[in-house]
Amino acid sequence: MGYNNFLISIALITIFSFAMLNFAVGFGVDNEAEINVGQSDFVEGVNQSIINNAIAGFNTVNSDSEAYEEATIAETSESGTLVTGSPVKNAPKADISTVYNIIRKGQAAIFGEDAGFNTVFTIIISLVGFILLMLGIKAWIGKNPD
Amino acid sequence: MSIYQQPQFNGTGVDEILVEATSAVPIFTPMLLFFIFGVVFVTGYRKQSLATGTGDAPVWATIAGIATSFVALIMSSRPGLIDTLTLTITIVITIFMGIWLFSSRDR
Repeated sequence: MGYNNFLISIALITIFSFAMLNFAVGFGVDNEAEINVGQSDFVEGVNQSIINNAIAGFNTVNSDSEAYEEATIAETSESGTLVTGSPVKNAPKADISTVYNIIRKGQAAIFGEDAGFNTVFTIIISLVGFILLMLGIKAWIGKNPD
Repeated sequence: MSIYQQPQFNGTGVDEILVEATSAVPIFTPMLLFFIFGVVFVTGYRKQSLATGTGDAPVWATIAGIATSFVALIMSSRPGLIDTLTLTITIVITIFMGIWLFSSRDR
């Protein structure tokens, strides 16, 4: 399993767990069920932990992205690699901003500003951002992230 | 006097039979859920093995887990059928099956 495959697996596990827990809790609330997993402190704690992890992951990608933008290679390099790498850095950033806006508009139109879906959306955007970052490093420096 | 006293469930609905069975034998609901999980998992895996030569165990385990969770959630809307611990364990097992599915090497 490559590194990107591993990241995608982790993201899918997170989204699946979050979806199952929220569906179970939402089902109980909607049907006013006497037995609801939402009553369990454990489930509520896990749910909140997933949300916190998603936010922390998003912030990590942001800081990684900033570090990547500011990174340079020493001019003594004889490999022919660009010193700043700005052509490789700017295009993916613009692309992901466009995709972000499109998905955001679609989400607002279809799902509204639902907090649960925002968490899933945050996980997906963090994953896409991180994979683009890895691919950018591969394109600029030539090192294979896998 | 008849040998077998037929239960009277006048006006209580069919679900009362399940509630009565659960109150008499508390393990009835977990065993019923386990049966549903087993049927979906074994039949799905076996059918795929016969059709394609190999069966995808993680996929069928996840599908069986989701099916069992849905049944457990429906049971939770009727008091006396299922307790919080059983429902939580069912959800957790489904999540574990999902972890198995997404972390398996074949994907």
